[in-house]
Amino acid sequence: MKVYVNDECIDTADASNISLLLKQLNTTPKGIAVAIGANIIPSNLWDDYQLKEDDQVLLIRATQGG
Amino acid sequence: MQKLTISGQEFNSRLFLGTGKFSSNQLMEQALIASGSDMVTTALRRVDLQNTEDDILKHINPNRFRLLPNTSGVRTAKEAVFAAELAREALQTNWLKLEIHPDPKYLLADTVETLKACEQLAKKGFIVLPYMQADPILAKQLEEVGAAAVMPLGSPIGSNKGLITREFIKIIIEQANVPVIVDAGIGAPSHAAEAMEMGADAVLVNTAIAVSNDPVMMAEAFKLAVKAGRMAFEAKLVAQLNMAEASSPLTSFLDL
Repeated sequence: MKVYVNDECIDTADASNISLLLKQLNTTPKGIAVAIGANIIPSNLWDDYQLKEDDQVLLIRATQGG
Repeated sequence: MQKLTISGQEFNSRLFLGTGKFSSNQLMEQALIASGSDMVTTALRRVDLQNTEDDILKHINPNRFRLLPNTSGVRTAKEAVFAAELAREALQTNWLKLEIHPDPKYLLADTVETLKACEQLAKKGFIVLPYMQADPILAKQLEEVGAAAVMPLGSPIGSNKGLITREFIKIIIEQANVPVIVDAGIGAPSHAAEAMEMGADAVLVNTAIAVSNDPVMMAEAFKLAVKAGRMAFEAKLVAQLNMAEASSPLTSFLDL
């Protein structure tokens, strides 16, 4: 199925969850925040949160800034 | 020197550093260490799916530095609350530099949205340090809605113009019951020293260090200036006079 990660279309397994998606994207979970639409999903729920077709996934991390 | 305390947390240094604009994460790390700072700001960005390993946090020792994520990029209180919650989730801290500046030219804080967001975030348990106009009334209002400190600007972000708001910052300092951290526009160690001599509790510096020819040496220069300014404040500066007052005894030893 297709989901959108930071507006980029990604093909993922039908039964994928957030943890599996991060693994697929080679993204280390540390220092990452995840929102699906406007809902922030705490990291302790990433294994259980089943992605749905067309989910808008926002992946955020820290960067340089003042 | 007295230690700075914000929301019950003690700090050894009164110099906070921004992590923006350094030419590399390695140079940033060296400058952070040279500054002696123990609080550093970070921004948030979307993960780059083509380069998922680019991670600033590898260069900021969590045992040495407290992270102060900012909300740069948001334009409203609603967006600021969302960004704050993302920051708390990503960095596991409820400390937050609230900044809402919708105008990209001058990056001046939106007072109405900042006050609104500060109140909401404080209620949600965030330790909020709002970047703000150097407005003494606003400083008191932010304090009343739960700001842990206030961060008035010296001059526009990245302008290096120093304390063009100095008279208003003096009033803010005089009236504040929370720490006053002068943020933005500090372009030289002398500006930082001036803020500290005035009684500011801390200063936040980024551009002046990050884009200098030698960020590590400049970081140390700021460290010394902040310390010197604070020591002068605690030792109490003597009054300025309009006339001379001799430092040497005016005895008439040449009179024969």
